[in-house]
Amino acid sequence: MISLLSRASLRYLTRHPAQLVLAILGVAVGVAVVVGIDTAAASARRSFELATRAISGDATHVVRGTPSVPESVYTALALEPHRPPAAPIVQRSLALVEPRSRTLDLLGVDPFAEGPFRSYTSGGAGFDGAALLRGDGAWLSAATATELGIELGDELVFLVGSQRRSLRLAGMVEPSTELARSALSDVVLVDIATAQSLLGTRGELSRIDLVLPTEPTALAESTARLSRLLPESCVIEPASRRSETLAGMTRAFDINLRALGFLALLVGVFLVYNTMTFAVVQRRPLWGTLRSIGATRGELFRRVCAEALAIGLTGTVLGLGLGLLLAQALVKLVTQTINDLYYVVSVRELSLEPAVFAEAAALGIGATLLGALFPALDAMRTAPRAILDRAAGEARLRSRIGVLALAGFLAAALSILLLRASGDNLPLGFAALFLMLFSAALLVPGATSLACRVVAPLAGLAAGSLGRIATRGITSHLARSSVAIAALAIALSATAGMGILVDSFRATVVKWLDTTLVADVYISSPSTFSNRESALLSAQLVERMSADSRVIGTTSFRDIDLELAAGDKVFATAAALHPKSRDAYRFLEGDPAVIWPAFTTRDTLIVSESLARHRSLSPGSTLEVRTREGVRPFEVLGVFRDYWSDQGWAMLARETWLRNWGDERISALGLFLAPGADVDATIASLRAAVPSGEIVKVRSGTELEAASMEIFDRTFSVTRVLRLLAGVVAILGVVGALLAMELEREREMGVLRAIGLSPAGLKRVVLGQTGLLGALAGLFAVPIGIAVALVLILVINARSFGWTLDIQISPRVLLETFALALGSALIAGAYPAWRMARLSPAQTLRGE
Amino acid sequence: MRKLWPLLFLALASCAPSSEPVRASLEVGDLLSAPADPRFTRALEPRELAFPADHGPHPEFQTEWWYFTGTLADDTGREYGYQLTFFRRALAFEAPTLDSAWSARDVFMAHFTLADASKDSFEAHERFERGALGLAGASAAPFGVWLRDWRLDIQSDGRMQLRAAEQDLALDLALEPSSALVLQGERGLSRKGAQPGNASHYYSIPRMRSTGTLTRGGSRLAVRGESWFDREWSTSALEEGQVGWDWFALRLDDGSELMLYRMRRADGSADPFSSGTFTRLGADPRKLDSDDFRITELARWTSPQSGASYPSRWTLEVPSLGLTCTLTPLVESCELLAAVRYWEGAVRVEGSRSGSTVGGRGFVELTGY
Amino acid sequence: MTENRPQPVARLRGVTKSYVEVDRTREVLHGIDLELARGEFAVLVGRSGSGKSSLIHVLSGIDLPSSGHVELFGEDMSRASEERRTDVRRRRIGLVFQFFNLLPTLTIEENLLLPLELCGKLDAAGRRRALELLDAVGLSAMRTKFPDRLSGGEQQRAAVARALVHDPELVLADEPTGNLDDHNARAVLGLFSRLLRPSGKTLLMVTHSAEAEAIGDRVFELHDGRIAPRARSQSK
Repeated sequence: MISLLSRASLRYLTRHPAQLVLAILGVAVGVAVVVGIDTAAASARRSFELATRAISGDATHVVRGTPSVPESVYTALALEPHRPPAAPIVQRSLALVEPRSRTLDLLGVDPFAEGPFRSYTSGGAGFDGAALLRGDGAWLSAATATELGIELGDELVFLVGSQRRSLRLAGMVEPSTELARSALSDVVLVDIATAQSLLGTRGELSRIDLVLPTEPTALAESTARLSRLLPESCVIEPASRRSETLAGMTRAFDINLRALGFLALLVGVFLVYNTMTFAVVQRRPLWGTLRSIGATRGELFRRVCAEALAIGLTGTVLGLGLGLLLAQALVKLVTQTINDLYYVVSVRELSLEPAVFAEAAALGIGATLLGALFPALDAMRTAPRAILDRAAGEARLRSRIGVLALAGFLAAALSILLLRASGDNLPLGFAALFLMLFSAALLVPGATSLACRVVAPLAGLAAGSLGRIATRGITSHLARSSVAIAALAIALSATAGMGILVDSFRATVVKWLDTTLVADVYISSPSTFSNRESALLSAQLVERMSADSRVIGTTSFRDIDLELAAGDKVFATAAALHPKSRDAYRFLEGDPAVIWPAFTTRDTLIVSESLARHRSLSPGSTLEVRTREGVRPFEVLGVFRDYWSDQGWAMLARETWLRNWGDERISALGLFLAPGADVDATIASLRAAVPSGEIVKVRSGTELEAASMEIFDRTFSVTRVLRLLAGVVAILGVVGALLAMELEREREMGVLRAIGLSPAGLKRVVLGQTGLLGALAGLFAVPIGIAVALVLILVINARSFGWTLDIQISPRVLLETFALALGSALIAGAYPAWRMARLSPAQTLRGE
Repeated sequence: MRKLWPLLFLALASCAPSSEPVRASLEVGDLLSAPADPRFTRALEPRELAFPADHGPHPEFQTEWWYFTGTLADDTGREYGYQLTFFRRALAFEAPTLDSAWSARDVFMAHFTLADASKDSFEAHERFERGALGLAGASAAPFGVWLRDWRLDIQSDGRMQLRAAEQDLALDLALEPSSALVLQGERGLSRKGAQPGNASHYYSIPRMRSTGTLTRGGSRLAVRGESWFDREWSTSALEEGQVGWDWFALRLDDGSELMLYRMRRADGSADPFSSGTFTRLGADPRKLDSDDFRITELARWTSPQSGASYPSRWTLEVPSLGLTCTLTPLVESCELLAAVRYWEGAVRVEGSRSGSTVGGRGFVELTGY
Repeated sequence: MTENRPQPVARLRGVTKSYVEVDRTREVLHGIDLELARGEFAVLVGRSGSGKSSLIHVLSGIDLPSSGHVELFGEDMSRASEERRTDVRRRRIGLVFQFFNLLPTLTIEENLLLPLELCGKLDAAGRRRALELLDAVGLSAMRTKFPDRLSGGEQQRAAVARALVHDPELVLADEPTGNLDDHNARAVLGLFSRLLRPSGKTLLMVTHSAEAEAIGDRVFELHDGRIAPRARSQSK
């Protein structure tokens, strides 16, 4: 049986269902955002791990080479009497163009060597095993074939470099485990001969998979024996190394997502705190009465906590469900970005990580309890008479404003110290950010009180007593209004901070693209970052394009991966730069007058800012790079400003590339036209000159810039969604808070109506007050938002991505923030205003 | 008909026993019945064979194999049965035109087994390689067929060398013919079905003196014994209703040899194209038809791995030769869980011929169970 | 009577009021007929729940009767719009409540100025009148204080002043002394006599205090939702 005490307090909530719903919804949305982001990111990560594991199979080690492993290495290995299981692999990300655009991982295997490595099973109607070795046979997982809408015998057209090449679906791979099933969804399996022929890499292998003994001495012996068979350009490394490297690529992206998730969590905590504070504070008279008739402090405290727990639990459960829905939507955006920028991954299903659920439950229940704790303690400590008298509670807060403000300043100072001290430690950076927002929350009551003191006379002048009622209503209910204002301000400052970050980023990139894309026309194969290795232009195409009479100079690029002696790799470009292209490079370190002469003649390279930061490189340091002739030191000449890749990249001269690797193919071409040449007309004629069967993009610098910005914007679509969500959370929170606050004042409004205020006048008073509240929140959100942005840009972003951004605080973001604050507050005020204006004052006064 | 040609590696079959389901789904008959490119030569008529040239590859036919089975004994008298077989199968009449050295027309398969009668143990290994990059191949002069380091070499004087090593097991044998070369079927043309062309060119050397070394777990043993060499090439297929076969190759200690095969039909009956050959030193081979012999199963052995049940002891009667004998496996568990599942093992022969006791050794192959 | 009888300030005819509750309709006023003449002090007594407050609400136009007519200053309020009723109320009626109902966020003086502001008379004269009234109720010293700093008696005196500041013709007081001790109750009643009588304002006061009853010209009794004149107590 429920105790009367519980009934008394529960009935209060059931009689105010809107508030109960808002409290639960508040918890739910906060939890949902965290679950959504974390699950989306974790699912992408997990899918990638699964794919990597399925593709590397049971291999423990691999032989890698630069630029590739000669297949003679495999035949030498295969004929060794006591060689370990070995399988040759040709692997490349390829753009599928028909029947549908999609990036697939082409995996060329020797089926006869596959046994110890990967287990696929196969079959089905029309099974034609021999087709695999026939030259154009390709195998897909049945699910992928269904997705692409193709059947056995249908054609698959790939873009290899700039050439269209086709294969035929010869069979379906049915992975023997559920794990492999989703992992193989992006793999197109072909015979190794087909792969080499398709890619034009005769004689080259991507790697050789090995199963070496696990026992250390046997492993060492085996490695030593195999190493003797390898040329200088090849090395044996653990199979996990590559997936670690790839997973490491998205580290910065993950951190960025985490930062967003963290901000959402923060907003969620405030929201939950806000709702719980209200749910408790509102019932002060009830607590007072209960205390008067003999309820003990402990009973009240337990009562409040039990309620908070119930609200927290309900909200959490709801939030987990909502979060998974949200994750479904977010995961598309997240994988899109990963595919654009890092590697191919497709997420078949959400990966439900216990840690995420635990985190969310801790947030939902913990924050709810924490939110209820202070009001509960407060209610417990106060004498019954004082509880009955709300004014006393308010008076106490007013007397504490100074203390709170002092604590706020201290927290702010501590946060700045922490930021300085955190170095490269991102968790500390986040802690500092949290502390900063916390300090802002502590400062809000003082600031609100101060602001109202300024605004009240003005409001009085402008709107008379009604203006004063509206203004003073905020200060006289400071315990509630300041929490609402703080919650709204912090939620909006988070969105403003993200907005400023994105704006600054965008502005920086636009400016940088403007100075970097100096050529008139760019020619490249339509590839994405993940399949750039195969995006090579045919020699015939390059020759035709360069031969146009209007072309007076060229710049060429070749995208490559530099294998480092340590076993990992660095993205690089081998470039033959036109002087104008050269001049576009801005060096953060190093002197161009020294750099350029040494660039082409010696084994040197220049590195982007991110790479320099990630690997602590500066002029004079060296990178040990594996070349065709073995490991060689490459001297770093300078560090240039760059935003192409957050992992950073190195550039070396085409001459250096040819000297050490000797591969003449190029990935992209920039053309400089004669003065006065019509760029559009030239592009049109260049497009017409593209050899048939080839697909290339011929674009002006402007078009390339637009395309780059499109990817940029897509990358930040997650951020935009999160900003929107933070906004929704903020609005929900403020609606709940203001609704409660205004409804509590029904009686006062009834009096106003009784002494002659018209319904319209009443609406103005209510909306005036909530509007003012929103405006204050908006006002506070602006400086807090700028501070958040500064931390995001100067600390978090700089440390995780290694980019210097020009800070760009656009009035648009600030106005948006303010408008959002005001708008959400007005929306929040609309219902109470409408309700109170409609209510007969007799009803509100009837208590007498 | 002797020996299977499993195409099953085309199913990307892995050696791991865990991918058993695939194999179960593909029956031997299905694969051998697959339509062949009409440009391949078919075995329609007997042809004159010339040696050593016909030891070498016949790429105009789709399929061929070199099949060695034998019994060996070490110095302490322990007895072993071994099998080392090389298969070639053309995937297409013409090699695909790909810009890759991996592009291949032929695929090679080899099986290498050892049964140890003293330990009642059996060990089997299987290899596949494409005929490219020197990984596998067959050459005519001098003749060799190999899959990586497993190989058979035939010298111009007819002596042969077999080498295979896998993990802890290695076999190195020198073989020398000690019986005449036998043309099976009709002057070397062995019919497998009613359809013309469903036949193979088939010869055997039933007795080859074998000496060499067997290495197991690091210890080398000198071994000697006798091997049976079968050589067959064709572009043939199993006919409808044929589900498998039982094949027997017996070397009797009175100096005669008997080869018999029984084609089994789906209804359990023996196909009329079952046949055999009886040879005796210094006499012409004698062809046996399906009604010349009777085979009775005496026991069955059930594989714990595959669950398949194989006959494991037989009584063999050839009234026209006055021969009655029982065949008992040296080791029962000679099942190969390879791309095609089959049983192949050495048997002990005990019985009588024309009233006098006769013994011997032989090999039995059972497919389609 | 055919003499030129002055128009009554308020006239109720057949007024009923019922509230729809969860499972029934509760009728609190049954066919009330009542006229208040100009300058008249009418006192309405009755037990708790007899419908006194409802009568005040209906009369002041903050609530509508369920049936019957409410006429104020010759105008049928039961047919007037919400805006019209508000307008009449803010200009011509003053309300005093049992629980004072001063606006907590306005100072005492601002509470007084609020009705003036609402009816658009917040001019110098109005301000002067507010100060005079504050002086008259003895709260000049408290004018910049917020209501929560005042005692109950002081708050109710301020509330009376607020009810009079815009010079209403009719003052409705709902148990104005109900929450006060004797001393303060007497002071408030004194204010009514002192401030309303000279300017000829009409007062309808709901009370169940005998002392309050005493200041009335007429006393009605509300019993079970019906009104009846009550004979004046002859004892005094």
